[in-house]
Parts: sequence; structure tokens; C-alpha cells
Amino acid sequence: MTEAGFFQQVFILFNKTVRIAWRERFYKSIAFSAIIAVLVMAVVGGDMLEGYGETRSGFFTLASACIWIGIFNTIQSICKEHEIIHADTRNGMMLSAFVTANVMWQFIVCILEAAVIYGISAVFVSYNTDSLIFDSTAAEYFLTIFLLLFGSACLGMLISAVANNGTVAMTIMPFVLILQLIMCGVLFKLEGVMDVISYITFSKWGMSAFGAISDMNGLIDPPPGDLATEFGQIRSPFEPIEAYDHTPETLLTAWIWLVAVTLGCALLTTLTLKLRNRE
Amino acid sequence: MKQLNVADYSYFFQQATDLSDKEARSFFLTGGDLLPQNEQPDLRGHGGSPRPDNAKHPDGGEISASPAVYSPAGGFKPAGGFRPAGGFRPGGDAGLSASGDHGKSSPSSGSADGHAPTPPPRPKIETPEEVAMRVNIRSQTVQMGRKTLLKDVNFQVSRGDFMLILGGSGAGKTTLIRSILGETKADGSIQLNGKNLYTNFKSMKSQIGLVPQFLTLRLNDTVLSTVTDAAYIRLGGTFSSAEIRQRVNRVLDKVGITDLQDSLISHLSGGQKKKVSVAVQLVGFQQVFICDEPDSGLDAASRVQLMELLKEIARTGKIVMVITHYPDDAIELFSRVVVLAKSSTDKAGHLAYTGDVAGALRTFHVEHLQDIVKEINPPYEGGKGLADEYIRRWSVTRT
Repeated sequence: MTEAGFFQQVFILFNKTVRIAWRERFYKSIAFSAIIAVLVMAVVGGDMLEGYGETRSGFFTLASACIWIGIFNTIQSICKEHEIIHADTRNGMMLSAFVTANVMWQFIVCILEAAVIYGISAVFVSYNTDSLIFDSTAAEYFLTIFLLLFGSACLGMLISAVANNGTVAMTIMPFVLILQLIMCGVLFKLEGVMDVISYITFSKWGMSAFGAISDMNGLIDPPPGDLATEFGQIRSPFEPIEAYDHTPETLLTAWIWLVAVTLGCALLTTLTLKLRNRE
Repeated sequence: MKQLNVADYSYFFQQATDLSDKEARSFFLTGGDLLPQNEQPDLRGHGGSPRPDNAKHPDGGEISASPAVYSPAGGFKPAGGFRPAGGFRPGGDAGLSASGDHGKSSPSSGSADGHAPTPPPRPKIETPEEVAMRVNIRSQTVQMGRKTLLKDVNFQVSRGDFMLILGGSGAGKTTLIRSILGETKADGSIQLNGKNLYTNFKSMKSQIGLVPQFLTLRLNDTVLSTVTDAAYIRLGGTFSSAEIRQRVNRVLDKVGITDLQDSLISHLSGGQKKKVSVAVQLVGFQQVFICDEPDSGLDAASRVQLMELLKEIARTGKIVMVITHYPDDAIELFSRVVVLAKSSTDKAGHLAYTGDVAGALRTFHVEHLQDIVKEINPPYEGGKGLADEYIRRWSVTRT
């Protein structure tokens, strides 16, 4: 008997995922992301793009919210189905097709969430207009938010694949979130091994992308001229960071890293499931 | 669409390699494999006439129709061959037919509590055509070989057998089915129609289906979608969409859940959910159904109904193996029993009996199958602790 091929299985499983997600009212997660976006932007949105510190804090909060929402999209998706997945694998389901179908569905969900989050943030923030790659910064902000959400959703899937059940997954989640927050380079200056590790965090590259689009380095105010003359040692509390350079290269690098880490998470999810269900 | 590989269905046709794609396809899509064996159409291109079932042999005996075998020279022939009236029933390797007296044993002495285990009847040697599965497990170990879970478990199963796997806790029932499923490979072999499962696992694993103890269905999906998706994944490379839908409808009908096809799984009763689990397996032409406590959590009526369904599946020529804690609910349905007992010396599960139900009851001197577990369970689990004795006796009988 010949089982369905990879693409046929992806089609079947994608349809199944959409059907079940609809019955499980997936749109609640869109509403959830809208509520979080309103709360976050109401607090930090007003001062963003007015000063370096406020902008950095604002984007840090926005990136953290995106990572939180993305992980929450999928953290329970696989761990609650380990037995079903095992049975389906016995019955001919390809795990790579299963993960691909889920990733495709998350792609759609994250597009919707990114649209909602960007739309709400635009109400609170007067975004700059000097874009780097696309014609408008709206598209660049939207894509960055989407990549953060989508990458985090794939990270959530990986955690869910590793965890034996929902309780374990929810126990792992705070550690992963803390790691993301610490490694983004906003709270602490990272050096050595920590800096290397930060390359695989979504927060670092999300902040880099936001910093580049918003020209965050350009928001650093020089000390007032008279003070600088009077007290030659006075310097601004902030120094320009290379990762926030307002250049297309910086933005593209950040996006490429976001995509690469996302693909890595999806691949690791497949491998983890294959190990769990190995014959 | 791919040509149907008739070799895939070799358990029905054996050597019928000259069967055309159209004939084989038609057989399955019309649910030919879901019919009792004696009603399944003759596929030699003679218009689908039913095969003879229990036809009278010219010498007065019966011709077993259960495992029909196709021979290029002589067409279908009953693999069970001629059996004299009152002889062994097909598939029973140690037991008796209702009217037969072969292998009848007499009670022996030397029991711990007054009645000793009766020496089991000598196993009947089955013809090669009759045997569909041979389980030959020398040992099944875990923890890098430090702990042995099963030892010397050998038995044969014929097509159409509805087999009960019985044993106390820790006797290795689940280990046995995991070995047969190929999930954990034992030191030994599992042969299905002469092919070793372990060495041909990739191509053969789809021939063995598992109906698990716990529900492995998505609650927010409908019955029809669940079975259809399973069918698409299993058959999508061979059959068209229309053919798959036809197959799904036949299976839903066979299992008796056509009326529930639009219901969500979450809205079904426990028994109905189990039927959906069975349908998911049945849709893919499995030869062997292994059911791990399929009746757990069901009321008595649902348990019996489920067992009757499984028996019905066995009648179509498939092998059905069941672990259940309520064997007496369906005692008249089982055609074979395998009893595993945990040895007190090596702490591994050993074979204590394999044969038909009547033989099992006689061998263990009990009236109910459930009582066999009491015989072999250790005293601290409420049993009589006779496992070692039964294992020894069975091993002596086999040699």
C-alpha cells in the first residue's frame, strides 16, 4: 500500500489543523494579542521615537510582548497530542509533514496577529517615515513584528515537542522567556559566550531590526553645547550601538537571523518528534 | 494514480499475482475485505461468486474456508485443508473443537492446593498455509539488557483468529504487543505470512494496527473527517479521492457509525469513540489488529458490543489480538488464548498456555477466564502463585 506523499500529507494535515483551530476558536488568540498590544502601547507608546531611552524601552517591551504572544500560540499544541502523534505516525503520518502543516498554519495566524499589533501600535506611536528596504516603514515594522511572532511560535512548538505534557511546557516557558529578555542586549551588555548565545535569540534580532528602522542611534541627544564646553568630561548616557545602525544591511541581517533561527526551531521540532517516535 | 500492488494484499490472495489492478481495486472499494471470509468474492475473474464455506468434503469431513489460498494452477483452495468431522478446529493449536476429543487431558496430582495444573494438550502442528503469524520471542529485555521482561514466548496465529492475551500484572502483556508491533524489537522474530517483521519493518508496519487503551483521536474533529484523513494518509498514494471516500463509507458502515459521521468525537460515548478508533485502523487494510484494553472504561453492554465488532473483523480473515480485563464478557467469541505468567525465578513473563478457550479452562481447572489470572498471580496480589508450575508444565508439553 502506498501512503500519501509529503505534499499530499501536508495538504491533508493543514486542512485538519485549520478545521480544528477554527472549532477551538483560534481567533481568541488574535483578540488576546490585541489586548496585550493595547496595554503595552498605552504604557510605552506615547513617548516612543521621542528620545533614545524611551524608544529603546518601548521597542524592548513590544518585542517581549511579541515573543510572549508567539510562544503562547503553540506552547500547548504538540505536548497535548503526543499520544495522538505517536498513533498517527504508526498509521503512516510523516512528522515532517505534520510540523510543516503546523508551521504553515502559524504563518497565517502570525500574519493576522502582526497586523493587529502593528495597527494598534500605530495608533499610539508616530512612526518615522524614512524606510530602509521597502517603500514605507509600516511594512518594515509589520514584517519585524511578524517575524518575531512567527519565530516565537516555532520556538513554542519546539518547547511543546520537548515537553511531555502541558505542565512541563508551561514550566519551561518562563526560563525561555527570561533567556530572551536577558539576551536581547538592552538590559545588560553582553560579552564573550553570552554574546554568542544571544545570536540565537529572537529578542536580539528583533531589537536590532526595530533599532535600525527607527534610527534609534539618531535619537541619542548630544549634551547641551554650553555644558559640554563648561565640563569637557560630560558625555551622553547612551552610546550608539552598531546593531541599531539605520542601514539596510543592519535590517536585512536582523531579518535573515530571525528567519534562520525560526527555521532552526522548526527543524529541531521535527527532529525532536522523530526521536520521540523513533522505531 | 499508482497501480495497485497486489502483493500488498497477499494475505488475501497469497499467490494471486495474476490478479488485475481493476479486480483488486474493485474488491477493496466494494468492501470485499470487510465481508466474512466465506462471503468474500472469488477474485479469479469468475464474477465474484462467494467462496464455499465449510463445504462438505467428499469424504464426509469439512473443508475449512477460513484461510483461502490462491494457487495459480488450481485456483483458490482452502488452506485449512480437509479436516475430519469432529477434529481440530481451525486455528486451535492446542484445543479441541466442540465435538472433538483430541488432546483431552486428565487431571494430575501434586497440586499446592489440591488440584494441580493439568498438563496442557499437545500443540497441534498447523500447516504452513494456515499460519499467518508466528511469534518467536527468545527474550525481550530493557535497561541495556539488564532486565528481562519476556522469555521464550512462541506461538502461532491463524487468519481469522480472535485471540485473547491473558496474564497477571507484570506478566508482559503490553511488552508482548509492543514486540509484535515492532515498537521494541525482541530477540527473536515476528513472522507475518512468512516475512520477518523486524527485518522488513518499514514495509510491513502498516499491516499491523493498534487500537490503543487510551483515546488517540482529536476531540474537536468529526468522525467522518477523522476516518477520511486517516484513509487519505494511508491510501493517498494508491487510490483516488473518490475511491477513498467510497472506502471510508464502507468502513463506517461496517463499524456501524455511519449515523455519527458528522458528530464531533467529543460528543460521542466511550463505546462510540472506540468504534471510531477501530474504523481508523480498519480503513487501511491491516492484517493484524492489536487491541490494548479497548474496553477499559466502557459499560458491560458497550464492552460486549465492541468485542462482537472485533470478532466480526476477525471473521473477515484478519487476526485480532486483545488484552482485556473482562475476558469472560466475550468468552464465546475468542478462538484462541495466550496466557503469560511471570516467573518467580527470573521475574520475566513466560508462556503458560496457548490454545483454545476450552483447553485453557481445562488446563487451569477454572470455569472463568478471569480465574486463570488468579491461578498464576502471586499470593500478594490475591492469586494462588502457581505461575512457575504452569510455565514448567507448558514448557514440558512443548518439548
